[in-house]
Amino acid sequence: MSTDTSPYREVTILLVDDDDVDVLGVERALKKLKILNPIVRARDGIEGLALLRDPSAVKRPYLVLLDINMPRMNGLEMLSEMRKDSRLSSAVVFVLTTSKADEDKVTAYQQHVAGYIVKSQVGDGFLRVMEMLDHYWRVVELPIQN
Amino acid sequence: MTMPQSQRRVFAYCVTGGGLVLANIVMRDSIWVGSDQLHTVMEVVATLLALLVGVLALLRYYSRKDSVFLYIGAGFLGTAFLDGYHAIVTAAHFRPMMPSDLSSLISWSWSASRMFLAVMLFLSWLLWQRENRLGPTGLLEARTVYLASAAFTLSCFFFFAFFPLPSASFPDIPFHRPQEYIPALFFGLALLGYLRKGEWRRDIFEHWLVLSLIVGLITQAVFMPFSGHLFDFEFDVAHLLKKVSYICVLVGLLISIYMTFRSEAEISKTLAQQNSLLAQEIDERQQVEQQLKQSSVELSRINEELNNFAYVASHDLKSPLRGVDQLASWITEDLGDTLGDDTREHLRLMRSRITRMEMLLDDLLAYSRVGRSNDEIISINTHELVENIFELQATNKPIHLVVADDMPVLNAQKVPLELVFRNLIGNAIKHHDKPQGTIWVSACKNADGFEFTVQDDGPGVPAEHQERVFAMFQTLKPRDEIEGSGIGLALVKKAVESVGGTVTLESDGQQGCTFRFTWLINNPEENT
Repeated sequence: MSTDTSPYREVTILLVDDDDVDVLGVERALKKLKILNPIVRARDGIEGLALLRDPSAVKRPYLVLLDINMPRMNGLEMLSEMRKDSRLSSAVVFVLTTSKADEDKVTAYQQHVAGYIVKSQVGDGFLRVMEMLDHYWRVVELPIQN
Repeated sequence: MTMPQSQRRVFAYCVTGGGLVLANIVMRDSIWVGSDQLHTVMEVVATLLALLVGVLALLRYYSRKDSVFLYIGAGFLGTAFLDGYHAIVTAAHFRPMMPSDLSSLISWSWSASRMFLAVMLFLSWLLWQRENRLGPTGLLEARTVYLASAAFTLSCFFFFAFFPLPSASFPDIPFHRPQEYIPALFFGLALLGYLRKGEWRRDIFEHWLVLSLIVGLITQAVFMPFSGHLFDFEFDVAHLLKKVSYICVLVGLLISIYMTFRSEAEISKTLAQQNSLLAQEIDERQQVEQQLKQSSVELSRINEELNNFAYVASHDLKSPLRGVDQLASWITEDLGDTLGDDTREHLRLMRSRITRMEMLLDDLLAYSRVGRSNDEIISINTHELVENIFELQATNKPIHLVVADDMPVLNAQKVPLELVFRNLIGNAIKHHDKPQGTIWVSACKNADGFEFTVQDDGPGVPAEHQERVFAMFQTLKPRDEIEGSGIGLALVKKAVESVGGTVTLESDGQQGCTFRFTWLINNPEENT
C-alpha cells in the first residue's frame, strides 16, 4: 500500500532545449495552467545526460521534453545514449521539436518515445502540450525509477 | 623529264614490241646456224626458269590468295615439264626411243609448250573475268587447276611418245610453220585481255606480265613462223625470246614480292605507331574516366550537401522565426487592452510576414526534395486523389470540381503526383475572382503515359506572364492580396520534369487557364 498522501506524485519535467523562447513558452503555459511541477532545464544533450545521471538534480519521477536540433549533442543522440544506459532506458521521453522530417519521427519512435510533438502552433501550442502532459501524468503510471 | 607511270609503261611496251619487230626485219637474212646441243642447253635453262617462275607464282598465291597467281603458277609448272620434254628430245640419248623423226618432234613439242602457256595465260585472264562477274563463287579450286594442267601435260607426253607426228615445216609457203600462229593468237588475246583489265597501270607484276605477253606474241608471230630449218636464226632467237618472256614474269614476281615485303614493313611500322597512339589514348581515357569518377563523387557530395543545406536552412531559419512569432504573440497577449490600435495592427502585420516566411521556407524545402524521394511506386486512383485534394483545400469560395469519369489508375510515386495536383487545384481556387467557378480535371492516355489537364474559369494568366509563372519566387499579385510563396508552379514543373514529363499553360488572360502536364510511366500497358 502506498503511503503517498498527495493525489499524485509530483513529476519533474526535464526540458532539454537550446531555445530560450521555447523554454519561456513552456513556463508561461505551466503558469497559465497553474501547474507547479518543477522544471529542470538543459541546453543540450550532454547537459541533459549529466543532469539525469545526477539523482539530486532531477527528482524522480520525471519525464523528458526533448528538442532535436541542439548544439554539441542533439536530441536523438541523447535519446540513444539514454536507451543504452540501464538506469535511464525506461525514462518517458516526449520529443518536442520544430522538425517535421519523417526520418526524425521514425528514428524517435524507434527509440520508443512516448510521443513526437511538433512545435508548430504559436500561442496555444505550448498550452495544449502542457495540458496534455498534465493529463498524461495524472492518468499514466510512470515507470519505477531509482 | 617526268612522265606519268602509265605513260612510261605504254612507252616501254611500244619500245619492246617495235624493237623486236625491227630487229627481226634487220636481221632476217642472218646466216646464223645453231646446233642441237645449243638447243638442249637453252631448253634446260627455259625449263629451270619456268619451274622457278611457277614455284614463285604459287608461293605468291599461297601467301596472299590472288587466283591470277594460281593460274600463272600452274601454267608455268606445266610449261616447265613440257619444256623439259622439249629439251630431252634433242638430247641424243633419248632420240631412238621416239616414234617420230627429230625435226617434227622438236617442232611439235615446242608448239605444245607454247600452246600450253599461251592458253593458260589467256585462261588466267578469262577466269579473272569470271571471278569478277560471279564473285567468290567464280573461284576455281586450286586442285582443279592443278589436275587440269597435269592432265594436259601428261596427254602431251603420251601423245608424243606413242604417235608418229607429221612434218611441222612447210618450206613451200611464206610462213614455214603456220601452226605457230595458234599460240600467237592466244598470246595476243591474253595481251588484249590484260591490257583491258588495266591493272598494268597500278600493279608492277601485271606490267611485267604484259611485257612478257608482248615478247611471247612477237616470238610466235614474227620469229618462229619464219624459221625454215631447225636451229636457224629465227629458231634460236625465238628460243631466246621465250626465256626473255619467262624472265619478264620472273622480274615481275620478284619486284612484287619485294614490294610486298616493303609494304609489310611499312604497315608494321604504322601499326606500331598506331599501337603506341592507341596506348596513349587508352591512358588518356583512363585518366578522363578517373576524373569523371572523381567528379561524380564530388557531385554526389555536393548534392548531399545541398540537400542538407536546404534542410538545415529551412529548419534553422524557421526556429528563430518561430521565436519571434511567439514573442510577438506574448506581447499582444500580455499588453492586451493597453495596446494602441496602430501597434496592434503592426504586430498583426509582423506575424503575417512571419507566417509568409515560414511558408516560403516550407516550400523551399519541398522544392529541394522533389525528385529525390525514394517513395515506392504504388497504384494510384487519380480520380480519388483529385477529389481528396480538392476536399482538403477546404475553400468557402463557391467553386466546384468536375473530374472526368475516365481518370486512370496508374502505378507511380504518389508524393510528386499529389504535389502537382495540389498546387494546380490550390492555385485555381486561390486565384479565382468570379462569383462562382468550376475546375475541370481530365486525363488522356498517350504513348509514354498520361496527359492530365487541369482547367479553371478564373482570371487566367496573360500571355506575357506565362513564362514567368513557372520560375521560382514569381507571383503575379502582391502577396498581401493573395498569399503565396511563388514556388508552387516551380515545384509543379520540377516534379513533372523529375519523371520526364512536361507542363504547359494555355490561357488568353481572361477566360481562365488550362494546365496540361504529362506523367511518364514505365509500363503504360499495365495501367488502365
